[in-house]
Amino acid sequence: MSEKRPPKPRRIDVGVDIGGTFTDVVCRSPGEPIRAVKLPTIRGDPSAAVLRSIAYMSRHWDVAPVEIARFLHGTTIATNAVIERKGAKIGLITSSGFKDVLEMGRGSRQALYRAILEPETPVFLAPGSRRKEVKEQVSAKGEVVVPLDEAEVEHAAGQLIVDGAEAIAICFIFSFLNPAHELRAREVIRARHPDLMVSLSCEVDPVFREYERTVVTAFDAYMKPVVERYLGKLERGLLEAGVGAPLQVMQSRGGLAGTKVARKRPVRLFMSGPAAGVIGGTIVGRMAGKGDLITIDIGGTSSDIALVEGGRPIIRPEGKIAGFSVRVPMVDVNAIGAGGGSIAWLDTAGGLRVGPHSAGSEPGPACYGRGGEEATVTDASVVLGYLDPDFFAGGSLRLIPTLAHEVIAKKVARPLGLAVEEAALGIHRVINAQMVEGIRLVSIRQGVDPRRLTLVALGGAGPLHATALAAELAIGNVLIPRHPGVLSAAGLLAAPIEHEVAQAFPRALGGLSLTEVRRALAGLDRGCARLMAEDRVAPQAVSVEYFADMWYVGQSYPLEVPLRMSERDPLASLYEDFLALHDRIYGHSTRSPAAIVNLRAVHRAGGSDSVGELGYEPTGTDARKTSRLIRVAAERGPVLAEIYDRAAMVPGFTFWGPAIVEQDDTTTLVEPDWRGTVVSDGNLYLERQ
Amino acid sequence: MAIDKVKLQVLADHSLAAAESMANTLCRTAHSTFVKETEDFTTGLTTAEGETFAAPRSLGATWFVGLDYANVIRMIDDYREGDICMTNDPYSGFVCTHSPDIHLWKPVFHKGEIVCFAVGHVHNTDVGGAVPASLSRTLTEVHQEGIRIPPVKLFRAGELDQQLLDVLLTNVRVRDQNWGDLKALVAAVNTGERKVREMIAKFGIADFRIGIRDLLDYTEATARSIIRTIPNGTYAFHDYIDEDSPGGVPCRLALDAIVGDESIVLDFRRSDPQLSSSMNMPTGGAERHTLLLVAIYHAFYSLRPDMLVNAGMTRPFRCLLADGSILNPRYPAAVGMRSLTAIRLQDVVFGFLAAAMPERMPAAPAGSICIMNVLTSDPKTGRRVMAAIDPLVGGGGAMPGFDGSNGSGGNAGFLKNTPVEINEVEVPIRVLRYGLTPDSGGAGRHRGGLSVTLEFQVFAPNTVITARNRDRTRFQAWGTQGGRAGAPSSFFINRGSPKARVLGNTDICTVEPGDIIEISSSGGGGWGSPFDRPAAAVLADLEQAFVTAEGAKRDYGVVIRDGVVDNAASDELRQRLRSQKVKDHFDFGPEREAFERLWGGANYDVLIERLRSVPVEWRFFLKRKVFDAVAASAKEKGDIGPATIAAIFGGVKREFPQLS
Repeated sequence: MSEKRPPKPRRIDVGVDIGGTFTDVVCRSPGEPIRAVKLPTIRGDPSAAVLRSIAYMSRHWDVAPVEIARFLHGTTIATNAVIERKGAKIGLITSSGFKDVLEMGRGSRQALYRAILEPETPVFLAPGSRRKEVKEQVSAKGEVVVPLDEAEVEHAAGQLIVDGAEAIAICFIFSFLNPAHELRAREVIRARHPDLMVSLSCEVDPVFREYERTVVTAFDAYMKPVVERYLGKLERGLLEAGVGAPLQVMQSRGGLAGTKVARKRPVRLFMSGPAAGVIGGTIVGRMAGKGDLITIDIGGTSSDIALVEGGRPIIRPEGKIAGFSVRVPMVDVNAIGAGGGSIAWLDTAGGLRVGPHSAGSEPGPACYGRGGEEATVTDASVVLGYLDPDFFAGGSLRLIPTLAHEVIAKKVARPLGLAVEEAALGIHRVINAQMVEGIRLVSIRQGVDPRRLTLVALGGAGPLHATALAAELAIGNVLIPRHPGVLSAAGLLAAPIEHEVAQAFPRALGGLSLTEVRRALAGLDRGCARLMAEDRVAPQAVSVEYFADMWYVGQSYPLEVPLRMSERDPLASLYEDFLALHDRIYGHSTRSPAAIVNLRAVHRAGGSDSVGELGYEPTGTDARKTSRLIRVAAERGPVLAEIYDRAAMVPGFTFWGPAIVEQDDTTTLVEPDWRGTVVSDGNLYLERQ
Repeated sequence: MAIDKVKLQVLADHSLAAAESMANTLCRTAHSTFVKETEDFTTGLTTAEGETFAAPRSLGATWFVGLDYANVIRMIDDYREGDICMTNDPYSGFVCTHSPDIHLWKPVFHKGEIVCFAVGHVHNTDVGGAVPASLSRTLTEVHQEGIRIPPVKLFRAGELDQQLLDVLLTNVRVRDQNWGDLKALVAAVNTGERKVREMIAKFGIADFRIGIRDLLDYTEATARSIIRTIPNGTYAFHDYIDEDSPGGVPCRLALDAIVGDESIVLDFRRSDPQLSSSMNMPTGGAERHTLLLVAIYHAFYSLRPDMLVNAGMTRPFRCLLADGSILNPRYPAAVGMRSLTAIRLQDVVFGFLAAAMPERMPAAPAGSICIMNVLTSDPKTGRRVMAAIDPLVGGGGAMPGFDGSNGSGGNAGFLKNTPVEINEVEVPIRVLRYGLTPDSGGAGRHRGGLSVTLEFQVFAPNTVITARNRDRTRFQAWGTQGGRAGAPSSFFINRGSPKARVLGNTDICTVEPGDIIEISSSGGGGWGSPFDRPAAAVLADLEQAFVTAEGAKRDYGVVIRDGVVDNAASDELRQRLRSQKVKDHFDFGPEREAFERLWGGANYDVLIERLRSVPVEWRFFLKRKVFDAVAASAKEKGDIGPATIAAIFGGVKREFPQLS
């Protein structure tokens, strides 16, 4: 050893995505290849997972905690708290006459034909005994009709606190037009209970439709103490580990926020995990020069599908959390119950069905040899020769092909009078059809023809289905990221800081004054700027976009249209853009009067166009490992497929299907007629001929 | 030749997605509250012959998945590509069953041949006629129920028939809404056509043609496999509509079901004759008309939630209907309020299933799907407003294992309510309360779902409130397995003030500025003995204001003092109540028990049988006369049996010698 070099002043970015089974850690330091690792998640203590990842980085990657400049985090804490019903005990205060709005919802059911059903509204947030009414009334024009009865507010809050409420949500009718009563109610409560967390609907979601607003406000109160505790624990863990860098969290729209802001707006963390994955897919597309994408992340039990247009993920105004619709903007991820562990079964009329039930990871597919007795998609993949039993998950789990054959023979092939391979192909066809409809739904919902998109396959099972799905959709291009399994964590590194503020602005477009619009936007900008200041972002680093939710006068479901204030006549352009969008999405538009419903400002700072100078370094060994017989849908008999080692493929390496590309975290099936090329950053580009 | 099972499943997924994307287009672009918020519409795909093979599972109304478009398809000849056909006439083919429903069907061609139809309907808020919203029980002839358009082309080879449209829109009260909704429906059938083309491209025309028939066969096979699990036998069940016309006497819907191995005959012939009000349900006497089988869709789907929903479900059934009856009226009987009848008929079919499979079926749902409309004017601008404000749906029936769903459920989950924050913006009213009604769920080990109460104030003179489909103020939603009937519905103006009016089943009334309307739906029936409901569950209901302390004591025998259950007092009370109140499998509530002391099964049977022997025009008229005569006779003599009824009928008939 010669003399010690002085430590380089490195600025290292770290992305940590904590999932149910694995914690993915990705680390990027300038001028070096990106590094990634999957560590087992320690259930119940996220700070332990963070400490472990920091320890891992310093031991294996020579990263000192003080060198970490940004610590970025994607989390499932919010969604899990809802699924496991582990949020805070809250109380709900409403206008008199409306305490049951939360319970009754819109009165309709998702499962229309079912006569036997459980509640579809999130009644668990505040059952009847924890919903209180207070006298107050505001008219549809925002005028006070009945003044707020402050004594009732005090009484209601007192009762709720005695009942154990840790937070209170307040939702009054028409408060989005006149928030005075909600604001005053909070003051009244705070005067007596200064530390109680209070969520106001006029702040959380100041938009019409009282049920939807009540739900999101109640979720806000339900999540606040949980998110507070979680982030506090994480921050303490970071400090203990010697990381002084600020913690930033991924929000549902795909932008990061500092913990101070995240604590204030907990409902914006619902899609934190999947949003990071979509951002990761977006970046991989950008690296390959593709901006219009479908990303599909196929895991064991489900698949997350999202649409990216012009390099931006599509945002939708409301999403589903654990089965409940929650009106908070989020990346438009369509989660369907179809994955590698999905179980194939026969219904009473002898039809082949796959999913939504899954064998999960325990006992897992039959071929895992852990006692699984159901035929899964993964078992079919083994039968079809796609998965090498000795090289599954990098050889960490040895699959037992005879078990896969037996289970498919018993559960599917024999009852249907099919050969085992035909049955396995059938399982793939049925599950692929479901995924194809999932993709169609997100693309056609946006009026986008899927044929012109590039499919980005993520997750452990994504690359196995990618070419089959693309062929079904007449998509000609597929991208397989270098590390599909840790792309969510990588997405964190590239995401911008983003804040969004919206306001109800019900105005007909005809005769609307631009000054009034400007004034409203200025108010929204101030709101965003405050949030950016809390994240210590310099104003000059911020880029701003505006949107208007619009509809034809008489309609009820708005479309989000970009509002470009730099145009010569912004409102005229807005109308034209609305017509074009309405035509694209619904297939018709007329020059009828339209109106604005809400205005929205989105402020962004930072973000990058790649997940880092990847410095892709192939192992240098022969990429071609062997060949074996596989079955594919397009051919009657078995075909001979080349088997490649992904880690050994050099940039520019080209090959033809039928082929299988193996790597530690996934297996890629390249069907006949597809040509694969490794691009310079290590991503794999597949084209159909 | 059938296509293989794997391909069939793939086709099923694509077809469902096609129907749902049609529905999505329709709902998102429609203009009337009734379509865009309440979602009273359907979309679907039919075979070239007209049988529905694909319908949405999560959007729109549930009544039409078994709809057969064959009759109206045949009424148009010479289909061209780009044609879109339309009808809203209940007497042209019985596809449309009341005038506000405008149905469209668009042929989808492949190489010059029709392969299927993209179809759908919207319920227009108004299509003209005698009353706002076009529907009222008071109407007696279909001609009073608005404009009737027989099957006709709205688009010819892609070209809109503007004259036809003008005729239609000139005859309705809110033309912009109708046109907005119609445009959305046109967009939906166009979406359907596009989706069909995609499927043909994927599967090939031969497999597509066979496949869509296979989908129907497949659902039929599933339905038959469910029937195999229902014990063979004959089951009788009946229920009543409170009034056969405004202020009238009860109207019976009766069913004798004969369950075979794989098929079921539903004999409805002991039901009331054709009415002179508008609650007749036009079916053309078809053996498998969709409106007769709605309860089957719900029940079978509940038993097999993975089943594919399409017209194949109807095939194992054969319905027997009497000509000139409430379920098979003759032109020109009014039919506008057929929904009320269809809803009660669902209760009857549910009742037969509950009798056949007591452990598997829920108690009766509320059985009242009241649609509220307001015709008023803005006090400041004078703008006339006519809008549907909210469907008032009651609670779901209690289920084996669960309480009934509150506010809506069972067979009524397809109608959405309208946010107060939309109602008050679009209609100059003020909503004072919209919530659940305490003590309204049928008591039971599992409680029936609670009903909904809506209270609002109006501000303009000559404001007309229509509360369509109101019923069950008298006869209640039945409980099963010892569970009790749900609470009846109610309708008040200015309750508790000197100007108070009790309106019962009234469905149209005029109110004054400042009047407060309070309307409650009915509660769902209970399941299992209420005295078996754990006291802790009753206490939780009290804390949530689902039951009152009084109700807990009266209905459940649970004594609660200062928020605490008095166990000793409760045990004693429950013991006492258990011994004195032995209920049968079904509990129908006190009103029906009282009514049936006079008009029990055999007595009513005699009446129906005799009425069938006179001409249709006379049946409703004579029924009333007989009811009056029987009431008078009961006052004098007390006990009345079938022989007396026959004698009274004979006496009444003799007053009209022209009948003999």
